[in-house]
Amino acid sequence: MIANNIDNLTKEKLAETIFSYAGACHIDNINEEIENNSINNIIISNHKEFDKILYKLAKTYRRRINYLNNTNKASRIAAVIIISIIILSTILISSVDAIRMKFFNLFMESKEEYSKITIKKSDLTEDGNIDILENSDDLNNWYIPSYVPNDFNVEKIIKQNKLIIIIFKDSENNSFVFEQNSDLNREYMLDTENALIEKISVQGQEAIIITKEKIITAIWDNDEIVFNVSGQVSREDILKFCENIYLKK
Amino acid sequence: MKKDLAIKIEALFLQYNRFLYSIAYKILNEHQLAQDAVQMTFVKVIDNIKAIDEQNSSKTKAFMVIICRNIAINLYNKRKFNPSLMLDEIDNSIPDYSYNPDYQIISLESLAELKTKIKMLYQPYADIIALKYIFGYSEKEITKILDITEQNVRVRLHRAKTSLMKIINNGDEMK
Repeated sequence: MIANNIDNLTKEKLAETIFSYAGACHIDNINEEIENNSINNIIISNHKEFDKILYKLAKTYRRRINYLNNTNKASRIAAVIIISIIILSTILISSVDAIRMKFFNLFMESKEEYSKITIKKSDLTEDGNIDILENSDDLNNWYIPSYVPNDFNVEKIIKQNKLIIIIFKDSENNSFVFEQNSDLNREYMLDTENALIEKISVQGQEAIIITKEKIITAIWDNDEIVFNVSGQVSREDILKFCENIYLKK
Repeated sequence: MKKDLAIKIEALFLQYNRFLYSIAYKILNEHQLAQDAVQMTFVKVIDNIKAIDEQNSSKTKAFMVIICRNIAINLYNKRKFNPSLMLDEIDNSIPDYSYNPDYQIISLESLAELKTKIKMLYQPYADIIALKYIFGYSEKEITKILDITEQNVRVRLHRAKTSLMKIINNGDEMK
């Protein structure tokens, strides 16, 4: 027997446990009932017609769910674009020919006086449709990483005409973005106020690392594509990531 | 993810629709109404898809049955085919044992037999206990699932608990 002199809270918990157990027993019983009742023995007049009605109903609902999913997808795309623009607004990249000069010019200027710089030209939709890719299978002739920091997984791959953005996220919702851009006419600007800026080498190319608060950004080019990696990851991870990207054939 | 689950639920539903029909038919005793109940069950299950983790789990199947049974009872009540069997009246006809855990003395043997004993419990009562304690729905959510008022949910839940404790204690009055 269960003691009768236990406190009320314990009794309440005990009662809840009994009700949960009873609920579980009820579910078991329903399932036994389902198993024991031979479904084929249940006769419905015009059951084929009834199946058709249900199938039609299911189809209508599937369309509704698809519609809701697409609406959510569109919202997510919009959110990703906004995030990307925010991240890009911390970066200056111009044409490959001018990139170093323009970047360093800005760097010098920003050290002296800039506090905030806006994007000059970064409308992601101007060159055509944006595709959200399920995986990296469609990234032939683009660069992909062979190293990704621990716990990070691909959250989204956005493909535009001359631009690929891969967004990574970890279980704690930290994210970083790997962007490669073959559009040499693009021009971005950045806010480097109070940022730490270093020159390093990535895959034999000169690169810049910008550390501002918790965001680290690496930018470099290989004469054909401008790369940047930016996000909330350690400096070591960013460097390792940059060194381990390769062209997917 | 949810889209995939919806497609799987749809498949499961098409698989078990005749069983659901038989549940509804036993309550409504009318072909067309039983079919309506099954269709309404489908809509209700899809609308509550967030509560469903797996397509073929025993919980999902039980959820379909619980929804179907309660929809059929509601339809029955609305059509008033036999007002003497209306659920609200059944609710009221069961004595209120004023369940209070302070007074419970529960035999462990009785608890062990609960799986069999719970079959004696009026099924809508067992359903509401499962919705509350297994599916984790709040009383407000149960009002939407069962299409009854919040007051009715509270009353039914209270009576369900009371009846269950009585059954556990072999039908004796609570001590």
